[in-house]
Parts: sequence; structure tokens; C-alpha cells
Amino acid sequence: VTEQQKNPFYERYLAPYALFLGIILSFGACCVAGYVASHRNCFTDFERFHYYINIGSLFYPTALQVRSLAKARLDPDKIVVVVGGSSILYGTGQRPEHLWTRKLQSLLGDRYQVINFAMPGAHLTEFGGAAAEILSCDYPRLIFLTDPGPACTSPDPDGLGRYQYFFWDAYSKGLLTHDQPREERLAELAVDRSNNDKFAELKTQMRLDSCLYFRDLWTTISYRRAATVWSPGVGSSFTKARQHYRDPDVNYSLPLDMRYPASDNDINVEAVRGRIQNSRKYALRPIPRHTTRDDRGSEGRYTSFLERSVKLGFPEPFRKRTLMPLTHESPYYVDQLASHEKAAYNALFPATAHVLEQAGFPTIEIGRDYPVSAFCDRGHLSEEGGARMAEELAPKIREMAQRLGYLPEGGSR
Amino acid sequence: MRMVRFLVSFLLGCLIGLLFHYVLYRMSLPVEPFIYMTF
Repeated sequence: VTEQQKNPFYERYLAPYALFLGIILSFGACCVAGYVASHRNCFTDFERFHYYINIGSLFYPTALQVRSLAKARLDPDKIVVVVGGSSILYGTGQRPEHLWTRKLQSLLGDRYQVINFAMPGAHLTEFGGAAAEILSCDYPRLIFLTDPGPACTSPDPDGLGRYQYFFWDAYSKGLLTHDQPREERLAELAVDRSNNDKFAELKTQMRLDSCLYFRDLWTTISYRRAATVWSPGVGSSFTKARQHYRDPDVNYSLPLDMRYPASDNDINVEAVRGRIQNSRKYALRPIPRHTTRDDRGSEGRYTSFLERSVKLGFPEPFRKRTLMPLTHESPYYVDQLASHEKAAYNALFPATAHVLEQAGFPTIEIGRDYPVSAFCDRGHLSEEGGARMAEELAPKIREMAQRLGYLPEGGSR
Repeated sequence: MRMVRFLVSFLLGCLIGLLFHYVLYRMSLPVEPFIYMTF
């Protein structure tokens, strides 16, 4: 037996102790770097989580990054208005410099600070809801805005899928408040999803990340230094740090005939009809009894899916400071409905408002009398519509601030 | 020679540790991005 056969390559050139020491030290250093990064704001010139810094381009902001961003931007002595919800409140179709939240800020004045955490495709409790809950400890005078969206779907406390990661990220890191009914619902969901491998994997990842901070570190590096994740939107320049990308929303200037293309007309009218059906058959419908849980489950405690969704999504103290604008769709499509369908569509808003207000949430109907030009497509408001929404929301927010005792005695603005 | 062997092993270990941390991050991302549609 030769000397080389006795001592293979790795034994001749590598020292095992040094190798393992290097692995442990560098892995530990990465965890520490992730922890440090998560407690520092990495976002510059933040207006909203635009395409290049949201999940559309595989950029997943973490719960701690959002908290650090808010801490860097917001003054705890001011009344903080956190905007969550879907692409409608995100401002799809509005340029950053003409974004409705900027208009809202100027209307509310210096006593208030508005921050836009709405996300395309997010449902009422998703992302922004968890973000507002995280911030409520640091900002006691907080008002949260979220919209149930055109689909008026009612997800579970952790959302419907795309933004579930954010809830479990915040939950695993202990950033959410304890709410017994929500805990019970999460326990039910754990049983219902016991065969769901993706859900089990998500929870494991988030539990690991709460100790190892790998998502915080590499997301920060993607934003500040160099990105490593390819997606169709970033193409060949995928290594460019995300902080160098500008907000790409360019739909604002489309002429009316391009906002409402004839080829998509039928599908959009059907989508409006779908909203009526969905609300009647799902969101506002009584919850059927669970076949195995009988009266022990959460089903019997709530009158509708929407009520259960909002009550479990927002612990009791958050409800009275959560304002829900119920936004209409463009009259371009609503006016194409038959008269009985239009009546049903218009009746949807008071019915939804009734459920939400019974559950303790202030609501406001937006867009019933808006012209076609106030929309940039079926559901999204144009810059003109966004400005009108801000004008309608500002007095309501001031009224809420007054009612919640956020303003000094006798101060109404 | 022993020092070089230690240094090479240590640097390789550092690289593996870094890679392992990065792999955990990549595993937390979905394979396909979410494409937002208005209808």
C-alpha cells in the first residue's frame, strides 16, 4: 500500500479541525450579520414596496426590515397612518411623485405621518396588517388603512399564500401581539393543514430564520450590494442591487381606450359580476359547520366568513383604529351590468360595511360617483381618483384620531 | 506547510459556512415569482 493510498487528498491538504472551525465561525458570523442587518434600516428613498422590492421580483421584505424602515421614517410623537391592503391602496397606476398617499400626507399635515405598506395582490390582513401590528407597540397613536379588495375575499389570520411568509416571519420572531381567538384558529389551521408540506416547510423555515437570520442578511445584501435571484422582470441585470431600481409603475398616462381595452371587456365585466357572486356566496355568507369540529371549532362563533376573517386578522384593540375604505370598480364596467345586477352591486357596499362596522371597524365607501377617468383600469384608481380618495379619507382619519384620543383636548386637526 | 494546510482548511470552511447560510435563504424563496394580474 503506497503512502498516497493511505492518505487520501483531503487528509493530505486539509486539516479537519480548521475546516470545521471555519464553517462554524463563518456561519455564526453570517447569523450575527443578519441580526445586525435586521435592526438597521436598509431602504433608501422609500415610497412603497414597488415591483423591484416586492415579491413580484422575488424580493421578500422581512418583518424586521419593515420594522426598522418604519422606525427610521416615523416619529413616535406623531399620529402614524399605516396604509396596507391591496394594489388599490398601493397605488397601481399612479406615479410615485403623484401617489395618493403623498396627497393624503399633505392633506393631513405635519401632525400625521403616512407610510405605504400596501402590496399588489395582498388581502386585507396580509402584509400591511401584520406590519401595523408590529408597529403598534412602538407607535401607540396608530391608524391603519386596509381594503377588502374587489374580490372581498376573507383569508385566515395568516393570509392566503403569497404573503403568508410575512405573518409567520413576524409570528416566529415574536413581533405579533398575543390574541387568544387567533391562537385557537391557528391551532385549528395546523390540524387542517397537517398534510400540507408547503405549510410545514414555511413554518420550519421561519422558525429557523428567527434564530439564524438568513433571510434578513441576504435580503439586505440583495438591496444594498448585489442581488443573486433571477426573475423575469429583472432579466439579465439580476445582479444589480435592488436599491438602484426605480419604481416602474408606468400605466398612469394611458389614454382611456387603452385603460379599457375592448379585447378584455367581457372578462372585466365578468369580474365585476364575480365580485357580487363572491361576496354573496362566500364573504357575507354564514359559515357552514365543520364536519369534524362540531361546536368546538371557530365556525359557530362568527356570522360570516368576512366577520371571522377580520376579527381573527385584527386582535380586538386594533379594530377601532383600522379604517376600511370599500372601493368601487370603474363605472366603465359597472354601467354595463343589467339593472338588477347593478342594484345588487351597489347593495354590496352597505352590506359589507354593516358586517365590518358590527365587528368594530370604521368603513368608508369610495368611488360610487367617480367618473371613468378616476380609474386606470377596472379596479385601480388613477392619479385623479387617488387624489379624490385622499380627500375623502383625510377627514375620516382626523375624526378617528379625535375619537381615539390621539389629539390633545380641543384640537381637531 | 502545516500553517498553509490550516489556513486553506479554515478558508474553505469559511466558504462552506457562508454558502450554507446562503442556501438556507435560497431555499426559503419560491421557484417562480408571483405575477400580479388585475383580473
